[in-house]
Amino acid sequence: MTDPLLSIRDLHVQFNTDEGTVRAVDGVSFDVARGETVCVVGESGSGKTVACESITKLIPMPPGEIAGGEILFDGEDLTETSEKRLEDIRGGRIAHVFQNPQSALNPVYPVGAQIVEAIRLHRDVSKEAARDRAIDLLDRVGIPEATARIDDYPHEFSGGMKQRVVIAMALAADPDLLIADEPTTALDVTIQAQILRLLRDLQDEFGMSIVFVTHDLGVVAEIADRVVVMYSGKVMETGPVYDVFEQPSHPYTKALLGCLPGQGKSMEPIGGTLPDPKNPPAGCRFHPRCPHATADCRTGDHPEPLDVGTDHEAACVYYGPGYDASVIQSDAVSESTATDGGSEGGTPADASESGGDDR
Amino acid sequence: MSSDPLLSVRGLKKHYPITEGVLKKEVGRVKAVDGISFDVESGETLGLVGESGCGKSTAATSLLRLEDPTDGDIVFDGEDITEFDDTRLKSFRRRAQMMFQDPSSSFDPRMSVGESVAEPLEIHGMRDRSRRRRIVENLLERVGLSASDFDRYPHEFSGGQKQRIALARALVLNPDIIVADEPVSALDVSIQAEIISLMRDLQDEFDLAIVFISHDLGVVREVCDRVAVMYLGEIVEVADTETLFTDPQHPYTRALLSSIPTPDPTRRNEQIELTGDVPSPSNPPSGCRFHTRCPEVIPPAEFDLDQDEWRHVLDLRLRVDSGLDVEDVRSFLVAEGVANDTEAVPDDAVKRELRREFDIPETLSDAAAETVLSEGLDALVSGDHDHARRTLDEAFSTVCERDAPALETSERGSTAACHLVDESVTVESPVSDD
Ligand code: SF4
Ligand code: SF4
Repeated sequence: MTDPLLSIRDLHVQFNTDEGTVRAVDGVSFDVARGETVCVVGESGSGKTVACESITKLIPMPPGEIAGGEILFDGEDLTETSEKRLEDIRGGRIAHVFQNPQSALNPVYPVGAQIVEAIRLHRDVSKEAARDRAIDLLDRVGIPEATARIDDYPHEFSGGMKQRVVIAMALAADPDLLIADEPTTALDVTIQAQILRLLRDLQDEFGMSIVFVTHDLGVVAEIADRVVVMYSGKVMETGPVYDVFEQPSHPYTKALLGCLPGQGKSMEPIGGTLPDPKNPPAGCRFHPRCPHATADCRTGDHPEPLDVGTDHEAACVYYGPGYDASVIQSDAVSESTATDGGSEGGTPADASESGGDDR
Repeated sequence: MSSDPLLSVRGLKKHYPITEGVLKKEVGRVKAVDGISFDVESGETLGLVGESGCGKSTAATSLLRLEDPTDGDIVFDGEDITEFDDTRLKSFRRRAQMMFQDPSSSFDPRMSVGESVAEPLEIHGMRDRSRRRRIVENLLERVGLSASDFDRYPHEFSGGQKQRIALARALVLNPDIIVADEPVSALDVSIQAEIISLMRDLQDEFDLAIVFISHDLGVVREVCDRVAVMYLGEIVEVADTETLFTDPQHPYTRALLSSIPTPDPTRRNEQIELTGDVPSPSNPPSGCRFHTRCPEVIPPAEFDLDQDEWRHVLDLRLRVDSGLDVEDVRSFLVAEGVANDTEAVPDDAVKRELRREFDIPETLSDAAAETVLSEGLDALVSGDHDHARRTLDEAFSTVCERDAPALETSERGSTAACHLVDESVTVESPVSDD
């Protein structure tokens, strides 16, 4: 990729807690081109949220710590940037939208005043001009009769409308990058469809890049240009959205697609538990649940990402020398699925599913 | 359907009064559930789906009388439980269990898992401690845990495992029916699939009926035999799961199903877009409650409008009814730089803006409709709101707003409440099928 807007290189983010170190993000690399939407998809504990919150250092530090790697934003390494400059970038060139719009809005001020403040924080314009722009933004994000609503308080808006307001606020400084973390997860599906459409339209109009964090592969298919599949702090697969869905190459990606309910074909549970973030498995992080795991998968480091197509990589030994990748690419799901890790029962997993990045 | 279902709900209502002042004078009612009827056979899973505020969770709690319903009958195994006293209610609750979304909140952190699962046995009078233990250990194994988990504590288990424990507890009294409210919604997808298949296995094994409440239509398709779709406190469609998913009859069901994001990027943008928000259940729309958002809302016979055009004209009309203020439009245009103050905004600009806001073309495809619309807009910008309202109301009205459609069963076996399905309403204008 030539001159990506954002380039994350071998990022390590850890949390130092009393019970030990959690390597939430453990050597993650991906790029985001200008005007592109990259979806980072994963389950609890995958590190998807931590990775994306590290970009502008939104994670609490301490206990969080960026332990290694680079975050190159337009050529500048944000891991080295001063807090003062980051403050300027946050909400300026890089804007965030979160799952819960409530958290981004102050309940005691009208929404208009909050957007005006966001505009004036990053731009030297008069109050009147900022208010006009706020009205314009509210209209563009689809708030009907923006002038009548601008002085309303957050509680006077429905959940979907609140998320529109938050998006308007994120657009206030004309960002180059919008980081949206599960922005539609708390919304009803018909409203989710509206917000996804809105984000697509706004991207066409404003040309910003979007990093979209989600657990929902359906949403990924709806909005992504490229996909980054994460599991247990590692990247499992990256590639253009059409390729990843047409030819899912990593066994985890395949398994995740196979266990989606309601696709009109038989659902294949993965079996096993999500790894314990404090004590992840050696070798390939997915090996205790992988139907194809070999001796190589159980020891050493997590496999390196290997080319499986144009701009399409999977971190799995089967794409390396001495392996026949057609074994895992064939569509027939192996009979032995999920016997390796056993059923989810057995030993308690120390609540590992919830000990992750989903707050 | 057999003549004697396990559970038969008729006209169930749950209203919450909205009160004001110290005297708690009732000033309105939230009609959370407003007259729903359905049957559940033994061994069957009925899905209750809909978006937030549709009343599905209230229906669940009213069904088990965890809250007393405002009206309606709930006949369980031949007896109306709405008439039960406390003793009979207690024995009913042995046979009907509830499961919730968040398993953590349903366990006492200081009690071992085994004690929690055994608690209902104790409450219902089983004194023999070792017998309780045997039953619970056996059950823990059947839900995929091990007997030795009896003495562990809830925090030692992951979310998926906790939901297995919750299942064990729901099953410990060997009930006939479980009402499960979003039981897998909080779980990660790779864990969810396992709990779903476990529920299916246990259902066969225990011959359980399940009322499965969920907003997640993928899960519902996987789990349910039949599905009832709710909108604003009412059931709008009931059908066998596959029929509902492959051949939905009600426009709301169609829109809801099309909104589920499919894991196939080649099928982007196939959604039927629903405009606007769900109206408040304290003041539901007249006639068909979906008419304020329905993409297929029936147009008046005298005009030949595009379905989209008609939807947008109706949106404008409904907005004028609820008090659209043209001054707001003028100040919007000032903010957009059209003029320096509201006085100076030309009337034409206001009319253009109104058409833009409601997605109405410069001229409607039907000349007669355009004449009425222009007259209405003229009246609106000149400040004669009443005249605007009368003009638009008279011409742009719909049967969907006047009459509430009844649930009608079609030849395909699905039951839907929509005038498009109801044979007795003749629809003269062509309705586009998008
Ligand atoms: S590296 Fe081994 S364990 Fe990991 S996904 Fe590939 S085959 Fe499975
Ligand atoms: S009755 Fe009318 S408004 Fe209601 S669903 Fe049918 S077409 Fe739509």
